[in-house]
Amino acid sequence: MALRSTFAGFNTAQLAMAASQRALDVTGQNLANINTQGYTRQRLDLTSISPEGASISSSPYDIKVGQGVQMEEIERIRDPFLDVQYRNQLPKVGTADAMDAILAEIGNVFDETDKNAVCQKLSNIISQLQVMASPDNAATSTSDSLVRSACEIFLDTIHQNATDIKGVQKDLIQKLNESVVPNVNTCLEQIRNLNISIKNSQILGNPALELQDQRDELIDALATYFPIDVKYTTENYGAGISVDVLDISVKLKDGTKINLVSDDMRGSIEIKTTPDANGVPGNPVSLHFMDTEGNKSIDAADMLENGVLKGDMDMVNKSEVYDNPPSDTKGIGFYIKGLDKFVAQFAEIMNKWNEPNGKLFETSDGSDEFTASNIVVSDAWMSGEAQIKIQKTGDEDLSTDYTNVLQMIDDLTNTRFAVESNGEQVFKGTLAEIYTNLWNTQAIERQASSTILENHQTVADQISNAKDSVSGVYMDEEVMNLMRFQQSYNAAARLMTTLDEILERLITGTGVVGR
Amino acid sequence: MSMRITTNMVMRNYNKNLSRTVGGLESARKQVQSGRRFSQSYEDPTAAAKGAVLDRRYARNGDYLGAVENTQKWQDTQESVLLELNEVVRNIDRDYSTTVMNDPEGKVGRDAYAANLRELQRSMINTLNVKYSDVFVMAGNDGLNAPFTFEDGVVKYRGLDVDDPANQEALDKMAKESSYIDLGFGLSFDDKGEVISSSAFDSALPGINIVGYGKTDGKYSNNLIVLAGQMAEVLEADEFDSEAYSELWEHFRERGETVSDQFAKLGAKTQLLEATKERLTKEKDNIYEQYKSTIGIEEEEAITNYSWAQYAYNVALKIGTSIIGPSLLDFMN
Repeated sequence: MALRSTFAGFNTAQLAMAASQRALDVTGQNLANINTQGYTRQRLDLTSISPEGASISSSPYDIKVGQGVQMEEIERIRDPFLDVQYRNQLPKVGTADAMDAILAEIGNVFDETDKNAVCQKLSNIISQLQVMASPDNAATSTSDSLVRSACEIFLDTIHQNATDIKGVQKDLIQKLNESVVPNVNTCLEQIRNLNISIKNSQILGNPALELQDQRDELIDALATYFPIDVKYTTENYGAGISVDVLDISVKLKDGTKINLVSDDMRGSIEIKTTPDANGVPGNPVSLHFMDTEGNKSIDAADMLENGVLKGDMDMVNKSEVYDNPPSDTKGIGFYIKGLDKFVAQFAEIMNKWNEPNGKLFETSDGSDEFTASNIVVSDAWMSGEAQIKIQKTGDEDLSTDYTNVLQMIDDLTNTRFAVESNGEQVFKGTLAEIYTNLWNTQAIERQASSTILENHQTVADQISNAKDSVSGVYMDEEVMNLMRFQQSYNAAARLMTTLDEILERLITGTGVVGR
Repeated sequence: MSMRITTNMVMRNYNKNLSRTVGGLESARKQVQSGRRFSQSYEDPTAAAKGAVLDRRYARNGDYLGAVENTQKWQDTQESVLLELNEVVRNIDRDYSTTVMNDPEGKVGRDAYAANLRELQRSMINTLNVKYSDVFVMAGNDGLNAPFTFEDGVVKYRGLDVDDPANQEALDKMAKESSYIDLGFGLSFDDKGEVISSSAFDSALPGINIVGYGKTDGKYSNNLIVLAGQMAEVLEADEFDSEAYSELWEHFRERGETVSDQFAKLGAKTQLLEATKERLTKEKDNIYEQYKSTIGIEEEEAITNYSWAQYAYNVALKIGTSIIGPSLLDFMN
């Protein structure tokens, strides 16, 4: 017969009480963090201690009983596959969000639903020309000044729009420089620091679950900027200690990966802008990744599949049909150049019909091409030296012939012009249609981007719900755990009391006869 | 395994839906306040594009209406010229025909008549040189310069003697001059850059078309003013040649018909202007209606939308109060 250790049961009871206490602690931790952002619920893993080892005398009549409960570890309940799904979805949301925000700003410039701007003022010029095109008004100098005033007001609005749209681009570049890039680099630095802390903790035996939660939040934040690939590898430190080592790489379109975080080393990102004539940072903007070993990548601005960085870089750099070769995104440049083409066409019409009476419009910087920023009423027209040519060519001696004004009006309202880029026709329409085309394009793009954003956001929310379903703290469940572990603690305490009484009986009550 | 519903999930989803409801409430309120279906074009790009087109049409329609009204005033001036000329012609017709030819008062009488005729000549020239605003109405395309001059019995139209056969070609060209006004008839140009006459309204009325130019049979002037002068000459002669006078007077009467003809033509143009004005006014209303139905929203619809959005918001709020309901914690003792 095997011997049972007299005091053996105490250990079991004590282990049980400790386990229940620890489980209550974990429940308490869960309840305390029910509202913490990014918190993953924890669970105490208990295993039963099996009787081990051989005994010198072993008989078939031996009954081996387990030695109690062992606390294996406290683990985070998290589905890594959902994490991957979520991190794949986040950059899609990021791209749509970035583009939607910028399109909203472009809309503020071009959307004329609620305001009297370019379209209205162009209409006014045409109205004034119509007033001029009658025998009683044609030759008066008042008519000429009225048309000129309408043109000045029109150009004011054009200049304002040009400044505003260029401002959108400048603001975006500034945002990239001062906010996006530093954020990403700070993220990478923080992840690296957490890597070190977590690894050190784990080596010392502390799983550092809360730090891991923090790190996961940071990785999620990073994932909105560009598509990332997260890899955990396990390293053995001997003595049964193994730690997780984290690797984060950015995934490029062609499949290559650039290592941005590797254990305690990190890379960074950098953007380079092209200063314009005044030294202000401008486009094109190039993006470079520095990997953990310090190697700098080539310009990766066009090599990202999605993410906030891609959205921002595309809008800064690309002008779709106005690029050479044409690109795939109607970025801010598309609208800047579209506005320039509109203005150039307007100046061309007016100057053409005014030959040889002198130019009505000229460029303020002396260049040959009209842009929205450099078009001005010519000095000659301002001073009255040049006036609108009213007579048809060859009839200059007829003082009130105004056939030329009718031709000017016709070109401004009815004639369809082709807008070209790189030798290809991009659009054909009347002058007003050339402008409203920009307006409509912006509206359609914005409608598309906000729908896409909503869709991606909905999917991200669904994944978020799924993640919560796995990792979130469920109040009722935790309360049940409270009750459960309280009962098990009570039971373990009761067991201890029982054992104590047995021993009490044995020690103080056995073998005492007649005392 | 069924899905766990955690508190955070519930809160987050509720938040998202609530902000969506609030957004709907906000846009419904904007609809009521502004009377527009949308305030930014991306909410309905098609309607916004249509609205822009309608805006343009409305502006052009306004231009045409203004042009019609201005042209009507211009034509009123032309009409008054014709009226006055008609008066003169009728005057001469009535008072300078048979009465004069019978020569009741002898030379003295005839001299008086001649003087009157010369007065009437000057009055006709003055009438023809009338201005509207700063521009001569009967001058064709040279409106800054007075069209008619009268010196030593010679009538000149824009510097050309109306009687001189050498000027016939030039005067023919001047008589055909036009001042086209764009009234929305689809103004278009031919290859030579000339306006196609059916696509615009011609407001020009060169004076020589009314009073005539050139000579008939090489003898009689076609110009009413010159004829009046010639009649006066015959009257002033010592010997009254009543046959010559009679012939002149017949010719004058014939030429006088032109004034009535031009009057009728002008009448037709006035009617065209009236009809155009009516059509444009109706079109203006139509465009406005279309614009309202594209961009605007009926008041009833806007208020109904708003009421419904408010109701949805209130319901969402009510749900909110019970979203964090009692949990097991409340039932533990």
